[in-house]
Amino acid sequence: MTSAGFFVEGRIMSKLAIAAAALLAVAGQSGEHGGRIKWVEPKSLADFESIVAQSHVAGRAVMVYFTQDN
Amino acid sequence: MKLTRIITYKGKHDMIRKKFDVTSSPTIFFLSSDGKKVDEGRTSAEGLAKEINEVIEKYNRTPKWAADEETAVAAAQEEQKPLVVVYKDDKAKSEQAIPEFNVLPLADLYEKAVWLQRKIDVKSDEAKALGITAVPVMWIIDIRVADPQARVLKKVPLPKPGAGIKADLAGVLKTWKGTGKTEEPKKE
Repeated sequence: MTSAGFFVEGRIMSKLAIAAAALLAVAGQSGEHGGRIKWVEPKSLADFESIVAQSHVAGRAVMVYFTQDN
Repeated sequence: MKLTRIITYKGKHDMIRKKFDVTSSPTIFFLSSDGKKVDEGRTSAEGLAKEINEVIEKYNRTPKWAADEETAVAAAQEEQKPLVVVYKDDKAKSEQAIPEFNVLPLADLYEKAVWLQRKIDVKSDEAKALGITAVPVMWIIDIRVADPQARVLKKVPLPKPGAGIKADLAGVLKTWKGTGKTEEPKKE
């Protein structure tokens, strides 16, 4: 493991790529066939809480990805 | 996708990091639909996919959809509850219709009915026999009634907002007779 990634099948893969691959697998899509993951970037803590609240109304759990890169 | 996905950056979203005591990156947290942390992400795609499925299964709000028609009919009969059947296909309209059953207002009625999703081809003989010409559609059925026409209490074209679905089901429940008594409708 590196600070930004993990060894997967002999190569370093970022955790974000791993997360995207996992989400695509759950959705039954493949990244090799153009599958893309859309992430929501909150504008502020209040916006974050609003996104979570909307998710609550819709009945969806939330995945939060904390990264160092910007 | 069945999960809300949020990305945050160090230096830009430090208030959110502080809220969850995040001290290292990259880190993945899972929150239940009411915003509580329920798990942390694993490090392999395989492990993470499994974990995502577990979180969805455990923390997403949804009616308890029956595994098949036989199970649903048996449960509706035994529990003396209306059977809610969503006839659907693989098209986008059907995909839009299903998440509306997960919304907060409808959750009050999850235990008051038996729920079933059923794929059907509108061109099939079965669809013709049932009189289904378009999907998605929700039927609310009293399985105790023998007459196949009379047992269908309500037919509702979908997609429709969850609050509207709740109103339709609540209307049926208002006059629903369980085991020898009329249930009092819950005040909205």
